[in-house]
Amino acid sequence: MKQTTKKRSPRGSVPVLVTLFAIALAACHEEEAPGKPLPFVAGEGLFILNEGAWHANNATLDFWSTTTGEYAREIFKQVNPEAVLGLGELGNDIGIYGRKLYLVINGSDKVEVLDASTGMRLKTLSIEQPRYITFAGGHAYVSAYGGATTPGHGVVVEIDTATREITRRVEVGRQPEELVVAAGNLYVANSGGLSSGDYERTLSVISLDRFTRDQEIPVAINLHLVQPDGRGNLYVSSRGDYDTIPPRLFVVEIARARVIDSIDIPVSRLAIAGDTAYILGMRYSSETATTVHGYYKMDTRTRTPLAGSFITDGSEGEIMAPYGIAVHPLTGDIYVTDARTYDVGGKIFRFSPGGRKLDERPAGVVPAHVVFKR
Amino acid sequence: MSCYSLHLVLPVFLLALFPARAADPDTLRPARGLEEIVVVGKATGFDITSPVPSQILSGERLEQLNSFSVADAARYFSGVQLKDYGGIGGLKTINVRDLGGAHVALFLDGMPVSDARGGQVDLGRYSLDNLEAIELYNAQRPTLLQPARGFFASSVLLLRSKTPRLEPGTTRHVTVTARAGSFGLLNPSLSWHQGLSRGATLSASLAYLRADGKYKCRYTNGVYDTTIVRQNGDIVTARAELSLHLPLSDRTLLSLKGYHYSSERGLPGPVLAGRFSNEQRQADRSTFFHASFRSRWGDRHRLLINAKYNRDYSRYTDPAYLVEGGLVNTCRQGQFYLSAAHALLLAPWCELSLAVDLARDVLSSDARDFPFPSRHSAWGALSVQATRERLSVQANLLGCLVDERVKSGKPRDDQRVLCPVLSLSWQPFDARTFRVRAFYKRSFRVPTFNDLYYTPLTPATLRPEFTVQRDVGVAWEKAYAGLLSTVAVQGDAFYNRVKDKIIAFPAGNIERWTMINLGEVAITGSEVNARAVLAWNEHASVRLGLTYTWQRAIDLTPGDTRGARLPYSPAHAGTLTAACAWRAWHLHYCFIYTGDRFFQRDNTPESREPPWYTHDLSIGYRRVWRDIPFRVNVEINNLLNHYYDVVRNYPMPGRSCRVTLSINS
Repeated sequence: MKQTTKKRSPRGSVPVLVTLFAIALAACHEEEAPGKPLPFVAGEGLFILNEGAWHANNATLDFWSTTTGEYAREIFKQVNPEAVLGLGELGNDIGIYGRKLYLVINGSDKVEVLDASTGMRLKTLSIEQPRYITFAGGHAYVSAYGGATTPGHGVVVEIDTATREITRRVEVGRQPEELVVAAGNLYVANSGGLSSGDYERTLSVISLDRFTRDQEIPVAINLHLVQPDGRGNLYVSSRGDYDTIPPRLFVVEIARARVIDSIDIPVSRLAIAGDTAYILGMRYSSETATTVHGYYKMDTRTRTPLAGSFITDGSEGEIMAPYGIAVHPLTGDIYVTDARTYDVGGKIFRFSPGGRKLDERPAGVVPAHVVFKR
Repeated sequence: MSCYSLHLVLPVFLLALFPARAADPDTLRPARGLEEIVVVGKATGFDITSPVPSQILSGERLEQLNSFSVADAARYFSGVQLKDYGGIGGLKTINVRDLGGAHVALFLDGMPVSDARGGQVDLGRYSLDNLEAIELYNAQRPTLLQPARGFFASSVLLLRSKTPRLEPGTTRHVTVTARAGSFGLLNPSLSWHQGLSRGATLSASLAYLRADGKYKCRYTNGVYDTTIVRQNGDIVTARAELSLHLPLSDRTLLSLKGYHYSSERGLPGPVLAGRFSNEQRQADRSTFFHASFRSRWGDRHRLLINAKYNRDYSRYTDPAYLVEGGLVNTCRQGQFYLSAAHALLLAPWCELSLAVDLARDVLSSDARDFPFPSRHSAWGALSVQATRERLSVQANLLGCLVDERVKSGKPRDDQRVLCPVLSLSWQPFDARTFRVRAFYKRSFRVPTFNDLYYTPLTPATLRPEFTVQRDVGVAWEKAYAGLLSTVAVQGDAFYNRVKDKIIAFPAGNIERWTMINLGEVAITGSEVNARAVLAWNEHASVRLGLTYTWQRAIDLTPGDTRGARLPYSPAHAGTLTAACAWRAWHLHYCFIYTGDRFFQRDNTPESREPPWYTHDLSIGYRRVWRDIPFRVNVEINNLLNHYYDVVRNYPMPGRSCRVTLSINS
């Protein structure tokens, strides 16, 4: 399938910038027009959630059209100007289910439910420090640091996607991160990330029928990401202790509920598409105060890292701080977000499945989470 | 350099508000010539013979300002940007000429007040009640006889406590002040000066403050319009000072001082979508003892010895932190400080001085894996000043050794630094009313304990952060016989660089940060300061003041932001003040303006903060009632109820008022 994406040109980005600037000016003069739908958001493309900087209240939502190539910054603010103080503080995850788009806003204690074809806000759900979202069987599941009765523990909240109401909640470990549904169960990666030296080390298994925590699968300290490989396994990442224990990737077999493999890749982000896992990795050397970023690729059938980088044309030098990754399920195009120095506007890059850079766009502060709309 | 020369023309300065009446010998030369002579009249606000720009707020001018703390008063100085997190308890620090807050040295009664942990002192905690003067010097104070540390700063903010000045025939002077106002403010204070035998005086000052810190703030984009009442901004503070001034002879003065301050306050935090309040709290205690010995022998020698011991304690709690029991962090700092300075008059036109300071700082905390750092530092300043008929030149050579130690973990490199300073003041014409000045100064700050130890990834080789300042200025002051009795103007143009700026840099990952000497900044700017006094007769006068600062602070750090304006650096800032006095009444009006600035390093349109400005008004009345002099002052601040943020997401209060009643006996 051939993409009709427009090449990046100064002419292409000028109207967007002008529009943004006009909006920013209008905001200052307290004359901002009520929300206007952006026609091209109705088409295919990808939503990018920019986390924003700490205490800056500048999480933003962008849309990159794969049909016209247009890139719109801050569409949440444009479409929903009535949202008090905008999208909020620290966007941590994004998900699309049916015709709705879900934005998990960690620092604002909320999940925004939007109409995915217009960006219009449908509902705001209040959840204390939500982190990640996943979907199954007409429900959304959100992990959250807060809201548990046991001090320090986190929860998973179940949302009915038809009524957009919270239906059930279950306690899990401390500071739960990514979660996934597989084989009728929900698997939640517990981190314990707020207690350095006393990290959690298990995946919690929650049965979707009873919505109770049935089992803990020991994996490693400070778990972060959990994603299925489509072959009965979960890929689970450990962030290590930021000191002597480096990040690492683990493979858990769902049927036997145990770790079957461990791969020495310092994983920070992961995206699995087909039989390939794309991994952003990072090694830091405190002796030389340098960071080496890796763009790893792994065959999920053999569970062995493939030689070389998934970026093949040398353009990884343009990326300063790779932060988010997503692979288009149909075209296989690889999208990598670049957080730069984490306090300025970032970038998003598009690579061909073969690893050649095709395109890039300026994004918001800490562009991180990407979801495709088809 | 074109901007530099263009704006060189702009500076015009202002000076005296009050004519030569300022030459009251008692106020200028207290303690029989032992104190250094404050050449500046208290009413004029600056010293045209100073080789560095100086601005002084003292006496009536200080009393009449709509100011509560030193931080509020510092807004009236040109070249100063106040960073204010809002409310009475909100952190307030200043940044002079965009060199960074850690390059401003704070001095209280001649001794440095430093914070080895964070490098910046909260100016909000210093109330104006017990202060006689606030002085701001770019580069350094021009006096030779001062602690060496006084030379080691890019700018110096100096606070002078009220010194006892008993009327002849009295042995006691007591002032009781009560203040109340918006935000649930209640602030009684007492100061007592007691004359003892042989010219000694004992002074005590006590103050208590409480406020609920609740104020309205408003956020709107034209579609939503939300008014929030700020929560968790309550504060209680208490301050006690006791000092003894003991003249040992005509030529020797010993001063002893004990100081204690404690506070307990809420930290209201930023206003974020969906989260308008926070639960964090902080308690602070600070105690110091300071002994100062000042002597003069023969016609040639002057000696100043200071010793100080300081202890700080702070306790931070965050009950909302998601670990069992919440987060509690306590921290203690201790400092011993010893300073000796000797000035020798080599010839009537030439004076030499050597100042040496030794300090030991320790920091402890109950944080996990805390390294318990300690620091021994030695500071030396060798200075020479030559004064001829029309020209005075001062040169300083500064040297510093810092020895860093830790009880556990990775030690950091020791520091050795040498810096030169050159300043001059020149009277080009016969008229003494006009002078030209210039200075060049290379200065630095050593990395703070936070810079060095807050993130374990910080390399051991973190170096000091340097500033280079170049300044040329003119000052002119003239007194007239007519209605316009005094006009004074001073103006400076400057070009500053910050090199090896210590910045936080992600170590490849948002969770891992490191401090590195990566930043570089160039600041071009100019300041104008002008004052005029209109006096109809001795009962009616108007003093006018204007300050204006133009700055262009450009980030030269390699990367995406190269060429962008520094965050929170306005291009334009200024103040306008008018003080009208008529018999027992006075009316004071002040306008403060800060132009637009960006809160983000890359200057995106959405990171632009609009300009803010406030109009403040106060009315005062003073008279003697049954032999008791009293004074009433009513202030209305932010008269137009303008809502603004100085620091993004930390709203400032709207309109507020304060009433002050003070009685002397």
